Amino acid sequence: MDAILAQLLNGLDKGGAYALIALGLTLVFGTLGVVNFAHGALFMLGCFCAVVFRYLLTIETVTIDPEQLSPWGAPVELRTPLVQDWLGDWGAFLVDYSVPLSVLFAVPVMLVIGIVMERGLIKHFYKRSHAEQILVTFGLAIVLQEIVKSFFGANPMPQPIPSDLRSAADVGAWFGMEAHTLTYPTWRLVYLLFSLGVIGAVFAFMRYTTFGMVVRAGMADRETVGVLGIDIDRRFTIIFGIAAVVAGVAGAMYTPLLAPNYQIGMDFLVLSFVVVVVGGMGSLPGAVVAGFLLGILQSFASMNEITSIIPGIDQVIIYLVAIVILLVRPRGLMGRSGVMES
Amino acid sequence: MNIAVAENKPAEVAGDVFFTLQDIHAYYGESYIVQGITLEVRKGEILALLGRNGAGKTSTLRTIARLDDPALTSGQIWLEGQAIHTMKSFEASQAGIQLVPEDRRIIPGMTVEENLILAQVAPNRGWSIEEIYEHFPRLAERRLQEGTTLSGGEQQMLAVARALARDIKLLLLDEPYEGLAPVIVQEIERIVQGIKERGITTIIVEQNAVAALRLSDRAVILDSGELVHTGDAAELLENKELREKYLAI
Amino acid sequence: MIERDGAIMVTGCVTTGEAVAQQALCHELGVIYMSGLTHGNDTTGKDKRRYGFRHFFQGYMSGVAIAPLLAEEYGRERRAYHLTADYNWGWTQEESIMNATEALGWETVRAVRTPLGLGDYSQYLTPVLNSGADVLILNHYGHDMVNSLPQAVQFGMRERMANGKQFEIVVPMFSELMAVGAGDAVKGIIGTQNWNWQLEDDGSKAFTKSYGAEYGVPPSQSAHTGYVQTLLYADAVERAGTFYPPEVIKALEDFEFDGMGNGPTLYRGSDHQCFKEVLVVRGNEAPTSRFDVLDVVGKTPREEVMYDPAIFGGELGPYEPNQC
Repeated sequence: MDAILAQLLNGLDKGGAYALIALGLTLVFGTLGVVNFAHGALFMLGCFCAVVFRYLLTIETVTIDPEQLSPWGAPVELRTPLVQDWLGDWGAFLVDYSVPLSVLFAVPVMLVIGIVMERGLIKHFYKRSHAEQILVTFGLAIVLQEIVKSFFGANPMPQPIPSDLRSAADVGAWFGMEAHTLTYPTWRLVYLLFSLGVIGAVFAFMRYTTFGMVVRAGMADRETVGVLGIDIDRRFTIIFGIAAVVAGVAGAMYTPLLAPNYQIGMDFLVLSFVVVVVGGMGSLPGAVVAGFLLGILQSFASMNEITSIIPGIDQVIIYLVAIVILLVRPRGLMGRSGVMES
Repeated sequence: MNIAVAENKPAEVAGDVFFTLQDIHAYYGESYIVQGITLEVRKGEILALLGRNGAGKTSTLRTIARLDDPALTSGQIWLEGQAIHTMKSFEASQAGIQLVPEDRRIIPGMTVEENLILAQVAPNRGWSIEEIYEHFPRLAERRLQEGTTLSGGEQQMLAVARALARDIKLLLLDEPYEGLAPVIVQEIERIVQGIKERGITTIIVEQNAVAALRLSDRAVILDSGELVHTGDAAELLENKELREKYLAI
Repeated sequence: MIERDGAIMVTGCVTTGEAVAQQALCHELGVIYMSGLTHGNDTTGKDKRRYGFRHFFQGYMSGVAIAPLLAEEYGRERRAYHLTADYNWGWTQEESIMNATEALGWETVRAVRTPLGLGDYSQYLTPVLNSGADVLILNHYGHDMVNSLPQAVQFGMRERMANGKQFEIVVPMFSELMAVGAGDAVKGIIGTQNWNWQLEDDGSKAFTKSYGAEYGVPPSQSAHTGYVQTLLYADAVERAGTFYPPEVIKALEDFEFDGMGNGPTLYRGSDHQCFKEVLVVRGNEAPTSRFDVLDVVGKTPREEVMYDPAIFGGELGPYEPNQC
């Protein structure tokens, strides 16, 4: 039983990341009708927002101590982060919590990146075929990757979890189980809560703001929204920006779990499309449900009981599910009928 | 395909002509649907746009409303001196052209009230929502109900109310009685009558030619995308020959 | 390079997969291959070649070297769970470690293959907690280990008790770079190395000093093996008096040498593998810099890590280069 609960938790925390990325992708497809193959790159850029933020926080002063020599005869360098110099303990705290704080940095940065991407490139492709959109956005993704690689190199740059959150939480104890029967890394639980929070914020925005209402209407019936005098194209820029922010903060918070490098976007890109296909291309709730579902499936499929029967199933299960859905119900679990069915 | 853009008002536009179509041609992709239509509408009048199925009536309305399809390839559309033919659909709506589409197009996933609020997001509003609820108490009762769960007649009411929520200079009604039971048709007729009494300039497309002609001041008949008759509505109602020839009634 | 630039000796690799492939190719073309970083048994085991030579240690030696310290620190009644990178290095290290630990009396609960280059190991780590094991052995190197070890630590494994004992994690082979990449997670973790810059012998100190002066960081075990292999080749050529590969090969086979930082070393003729003492290392609990993240806690003498070359099979092949 504990084994199953542990795998469930694992599935939920992975699923959170999948759901967030798919959410942004669906927003862009559902309103703009654009298939955005640069979406994974947005996740990657979010990761690097965390990297850059930490780098800025840890700019150090280096003093050389000529008295001390390292074992191989070079003088020892004493490094102190500037922030710590200025702000003392507070500074150390900021550095320690650089990853969650980087979310605050990532939001405006990703918003600007999204807006620039949309105004600069994407908007010229609204009326073009999906094939052309794919080519252009994929090309953009590669360019972004290479830019990141030239600045940051090819090595992964792991980001640390804040020191208080590094242990495993005794989840079992919260639910009255015996101590230490069900533990799970604290940061992963934090990530799960974070993703639920962001998802909740997006849905609240869609439901309770006028802008959100216009976006929902645009996703349901773009033509009629124009008939009612609304210039939805102008709002597209903001929507794209929001999608970029959602993907970006998902990336920033994920950096301690998976050390980011320039290629991480591509890995998540394929996955995000699978999630969106399963959930339904135009459906926001579909994207979220499918994200969690596939995360859980993948996690359970890697249980030893299952891999001993079908080895390697955990690698392919989400793609198998996607194939089945495409064959049996092409509109996805919650998609509108007609999308993808032609 | 290029739209012939001429910003100058043509000389022959008469003083009290409110709205004109000048030799407009429109295509659905490769398909030539509106084949050179010229007509005018005077302020405050109701014009019936009649013809058999497939004659191009709905396409003409959609072209006037500047929807993406059918695409206007040449010709001009003028409303009170404004060049409509260069506009996009949202601009046309802001300029005062309001389309009540053939299939009503109530937005799914939104309540009655949200559908009305949506109509007032863009500038140039018409009636306030309170006014709408006064005139359509049934909609007020169902204000928090999802729009697409309303009955056919109520959805039609909502579609018209949505248009009224915007500032209307020219109302385009596309088959307002379609698919409704006769009892409901009467209700909608009353609403359209109310619109007429308020002097709202209207073009009405309707299969039920008799009902349309009873309401209208003038009528035009389309056949295969071309205009084949213009005249007084009452006269057309009497003229059996014409009616049989073009309307099969 | 061989065909285009006329290379007569090729060196360098970072993984056993590469080594085995490059070695086979060089052997076919009659070019000597001095491998670099390769730890899988196959390179001088079933895939050995006359033209290939390995200085770096391998899985069997790691297993034998690490076992006594594991027994001392963790006891002989342990139940081990292996997570293994799914390629030839992972498989052979797993096999060697399994044999060595089972010889101590440990039980192997399970051995699970993980895809190479996987970033997120959480789905593989979750089942470990409930498997009945009390030691996790990570047969991972490079990026795999930099990800899997910290994630395993995040799962709180080292704080748990299992079977009445403290749960432990072992990483049978790792390097300073990986230790740095894994950060705090490596503290106290036991593993093995081919060489470490902190060794006190003259050869090691001289190399460390001059490398440090040139590059600003101390050399890693991979750098060490790269330089050593090149020096050994040059020396063999001098002794043979020719560049003609069959003669150079003969000069290297069964060559005994010292002063390269590993103590007295034999380049065994029957499998072209260097035999020397093996270092057992442990993550430093209190590193003073980026560079002393590992402490050398034991040296296993060369005699103990020798084995009969027949246990791995394979044939060296002819001296004469293949004439196509």
